[in-house]
Formats: sequence, C-alpha cells, structure tokens
Amino acid sequence: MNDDRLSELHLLPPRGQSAWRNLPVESAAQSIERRDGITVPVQVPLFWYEPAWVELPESLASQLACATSDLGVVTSGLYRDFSVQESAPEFFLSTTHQDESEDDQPESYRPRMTPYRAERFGLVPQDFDESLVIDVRFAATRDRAGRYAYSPTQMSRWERVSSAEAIAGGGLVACSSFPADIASPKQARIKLDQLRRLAPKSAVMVSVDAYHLQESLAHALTAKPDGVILRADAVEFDGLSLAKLVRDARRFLDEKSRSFRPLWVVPGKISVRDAVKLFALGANAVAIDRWCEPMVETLRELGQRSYHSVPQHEVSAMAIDHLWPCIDETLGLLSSVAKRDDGVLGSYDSRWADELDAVQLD
Amino acid sequence: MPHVPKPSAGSPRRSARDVPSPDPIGSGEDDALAQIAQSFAANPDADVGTSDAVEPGSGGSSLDSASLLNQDETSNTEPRPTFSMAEMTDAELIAALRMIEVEDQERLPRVEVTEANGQHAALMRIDHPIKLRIRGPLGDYALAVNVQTVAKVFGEVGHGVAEGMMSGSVRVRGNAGDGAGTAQVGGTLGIYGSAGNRVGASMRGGGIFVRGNVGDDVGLGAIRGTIVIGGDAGNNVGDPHSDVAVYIRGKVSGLADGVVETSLRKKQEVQLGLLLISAGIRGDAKDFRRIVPAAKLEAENASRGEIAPNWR
Repeated sequence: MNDDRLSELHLLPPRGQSAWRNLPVESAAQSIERRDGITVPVQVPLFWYEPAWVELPESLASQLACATSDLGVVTSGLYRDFSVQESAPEFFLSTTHQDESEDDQPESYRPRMTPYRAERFGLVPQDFDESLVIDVRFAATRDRAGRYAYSPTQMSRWERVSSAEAIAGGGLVACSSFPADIASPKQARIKLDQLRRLAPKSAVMVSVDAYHLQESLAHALTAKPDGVILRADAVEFDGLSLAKLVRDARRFLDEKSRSFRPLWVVPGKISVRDAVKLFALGANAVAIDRWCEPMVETLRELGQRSYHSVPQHEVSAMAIDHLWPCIDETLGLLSSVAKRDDGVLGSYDSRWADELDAVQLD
Repeated sequence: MPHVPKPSAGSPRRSARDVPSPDPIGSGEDDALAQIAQSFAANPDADVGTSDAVEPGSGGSSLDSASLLNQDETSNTEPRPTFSMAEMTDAELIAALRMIEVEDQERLPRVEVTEANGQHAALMRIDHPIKLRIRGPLGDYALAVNVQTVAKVFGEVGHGVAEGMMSGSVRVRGNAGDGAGTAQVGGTLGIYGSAGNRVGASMRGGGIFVRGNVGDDVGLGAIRGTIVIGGDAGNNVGDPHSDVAVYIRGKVSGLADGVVETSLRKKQEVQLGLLLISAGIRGDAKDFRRIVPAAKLEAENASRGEIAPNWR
C-alpha cells in the first residue's frame, strides 16, 4: 500500500534510447550565498523546522538535537529550549573543542537553525552564535491545538520564570503576526541586514505561509532574504496542491529574484519519495518534522519516568536507527535526479502531468 | 536613509560619576519603578526642575542641542578615548570598544563615539561594561541586543532602538522611530524626545521611559516590564494579556480592549516621583495614571494590593 502524497508523480529514470553517458552520483551538499557574499554550507538538505522541545526536559532535548544534527539534519531550536541554568547546552558547543589534537582546525558546530519569531520570546544573544540559518518568521505558527498562542509551560521554559511566578497572568500568550520593529515590508530589508551582522556566519532566511503565495513571496523578496522557507504544512493541502505550491514558488523566485534564492519547504507529512519529488519540483531543502516526531515521543516517555538524562550514545543510536535509513534513501534518490534536464517527473494522470508540466506517461 | 523622525530639541543634561549598568528589571511593578529610578539616579541626565516633558504638539524644551553638548563637554574634563564612526566600520569599532580595559566596575570607562550619521544596525551587542556617548543620529536597530553597555545617543534614532536589550541602558537625546525597545529583556531605555508606534512591543522585562509622546500600540504583546510615558499616547494602548505596567501622564487616544486606567497606588506614586526627579522631569507623579489589564486590576483589588500571579 502506497500512502505517498505525491504517488501520482513518478521519478523517471534516464531515457534508455538516448546516447550512452555516465550517470554521476551527485552530492546533496549545497550552499547558500548570503547577500554580502558569504557562503553558508549545507551538507544535508533536510531540516527539522518546529521540534516540540517543550515536551522534553532541556537535557534530553539537547541530546536529541545533537543526535539529529550529527546526522546532518539542520535542527531548529533556541538556546533556552536546551539550557539548564543558563549553562551552554551541548547542542550549542563546538564539536571540536574537546579534541586537543584538532587545535589547529577551525571549530565546527552542528547545523542549527534559529527561529526568529515575531515576539522573540526566549531568544537570547547566544542564539545568533554559529547558527547555520536564522529563520525570520513573517507568519505566526499555530500550537498543536491550532491556536496562535504559546502555552504557559512554553513561556516558562523560554522566559525562565520560577514555578511560583506566572507570565502575563498565567494564561496563553498570543502570537504576533509580524515583527513589531519592522515598519514596512521594504524596511524589513534593514532588519535582515541587522540579523546578518548579529549572525555573521548564518544565512538569513524568511518563513512565509503558502496561503496567498505570490503576495507572501513578494513581501519576502522585498526584504532581500538569503532564502525563503515556504510553510505548506496545512492539512488541507493535498498532494497536487503541495506540488503546485512548490513548483509555483520556485518559478516565482526564479522570475522575481535577480540571483538564485534557495527554497526550503515545510510540507507536513511526507514520505522519502515525496521529499525527493519536492526537490525535483524546485525545493532546495525539505522539512522532515514527521520523521523526527516519534523520537520526541519516545524520549518524552523516558522523561516522564524521570530519566532526564540518557547516555548520549543511546540517543544517537536511536536517531541512527530511526532516521538514518530515511536520510540515506533520500540522499540516494536525490543523487539520481539532481542536475538532470531530461524530465525527472512523469505521471499517468493527465491532470497531474498538465498542472505540474510533468512528462505525460502512457 | 535611516528612518529617523523629525528632530526635536534636547533637554539639558549633565554627566556624573556612574555606577555599573542596572540589572534586568523584574516583573514586580513597584520594584521595576524603583530600579528605573535607580538607573536614572545613577546616570542623571538633567538638572532637576530645569526641563519638562514634551507638551503635546510642542517641540520639546527650550534648550537646543548645542547647549546640551556644551554642558556635556564642560561637565567632565577627563580625557576620553574617541572613535569616529566615519573612519571605522561598525565591526572595527565594536572590536576596539571591547578592547578597552575596565579596571573598576564601579567607575566604567567613558568613550566618545563621533560622526554618527544615521548608520543602521550600529553598535549592537557590544557586551562590554563601558559608558558610550554617541554624537549624532543613528539609524534603525541602533544598540540592539545591548548587554552591559551604558550608552547615550545625542541625536535621533530610527526604528527598533535597543531591540532585545538584555542589560545596561540606552538613552536617546532625540526622537525614536517605531518599535523602540521591542522584545527588551532587561535594562533601561530612555527616550528624551518622542517615539513612534509599538513602544515596548513584546517586551519581556526591563523599563522604558519616554519623555514625550508615543504612537499606537504601546506594550503590544508585552509580557513583563514597565513603560513610563510623559506625554500622550495613540490608540490601542496596553494589552489585556500583558503583565507590563504602563504609566502615562498625557492623553490616550484609545485603550486596548480589556485594559483600564486606574490611579497609582501610594508606593508607586512615591517611586514614580523619584524616577521623575532622577530623570530631570518636572511634574508630579499624581498626574500619572496606570494602565493595566482589567483582570489584573480585579485580582489586585481582591487580594488587597497583592498581585496574584495567576490573575487570568
């Protein structure tokens, strides 16, 4: 049984009757060019956009973030999602600092993404340090119940209040729809330049909702981001809608932007083959939140049993067991479709083929 | 071009021996007021009684910025390191500032920064305990993510001044654009002119003092902290879900739904009075009103002055 959302689309092999040629295995590694010319390397084009770190104790959250990012997945989170008593969490530390033999090597850090929400609750200056991507959110995110709000538990985690205190009266705290210190979409350009200064090694990207696609993308491009993150994870988007959104977004960025702008896509529930098809439609990185969530659930159960700390190697082993096969298959399939210009996607369904300009199969 | 509002006259100020920057201010309103007052007392900006809050529609006090600068120059003759923003990049300037040795935490080194000319995102996250005097206007996001540094800007600033400040203080001898003190976590922001919309939006702690008028949406989405406004405010002041304390002297065009105006309690009156004296603002704390969520006021009254943390 195939429950892929994009099962009507097929990843086509090279045509057999064409002239003999090698089929090179392309690396999935890529880079993001910042507006100021600095290059930000991305080894694995997969990211975990909205982890529910609040469901785990800080130490376990940091361990899981280390485990996923060690597999190359760009993992999102704030310093205060992971730190206890303001001590630097493992996820934020250099991966080379403990190895004295590598003193001459430049320090390396795990691929981390900093969510720069409109309200900036929980954000501290350390969040800018060594982050791979600053994700400037131009649209509010819903909580699990669908509210545009943060729970008291979440706020306590971010704002470090004691259990006797309550934030804003102890209720839900509303999300904002747009950063208060950005006076206009045009002025957002200065905001993004500000963030480039605060995070000199990070790509500064802008997150937009997939609804009102052209308007959202136009606003985003006005701010001159280093890339765009398209949030198309609403459950109402069926497979064809998702595919069209990604294809249309890619076209829009190519037409309206003077230089290439990466498109990262948050698609909701997808399979490995879905992910690769999204790449073929124009995505440059794909969020894999649904692949990662079972690990949170597993660790949450451990956390409820007061296992606030599990040996890191066990968490890493869990991530490898659970996640690596999916990552490996994604990278494998991706290597087979990258840099091909002979029609990578095809469909037997004329509607899909027409809507997505895919090869009509018969 | 930076988004600097129209200039207004400054007010008299005097330098003085200062103490280290204040710590972040907590959520207790009384304590917060006291700490803002302490911050101003430690770094007085004007002679008591020689200036007044900007009247609605007026251009500010009668002293011009030239006399302001002269007063500052004559009040302290110690030689100070001076850096020109015209001759250094922002990164070079910040690196140089961080190199300045701090021998005595009780007496921070004073540094002059000249030729500010509306640069955006200037002097952010210096994270060094020094006292800066910046001559000239700055653009958007000036002194954002400030940590420890005590900064005074003798000029206008653009949008988002002191955005995300953690500690220390930022004082502006001029007007500010929109979003002043957005997401401020601690420290004190003083604006001696007027400010635009969304002052203290998403504020998470600390104190903001605006001597003149402010625009719409004061304290929008703020969760903690204290905002004191000497002049008038626009629409949608306050936030029903906010724990921020807004004190205002002038007129309010419109309150947000679910917030109410009320008088100050005696302790708040005393502390606001001290703050006004320290900040060099003529006036009586009794002239101010407090803007709070209706639910919070009810909880306050029900517990006879003690604020129940879970008032919602």
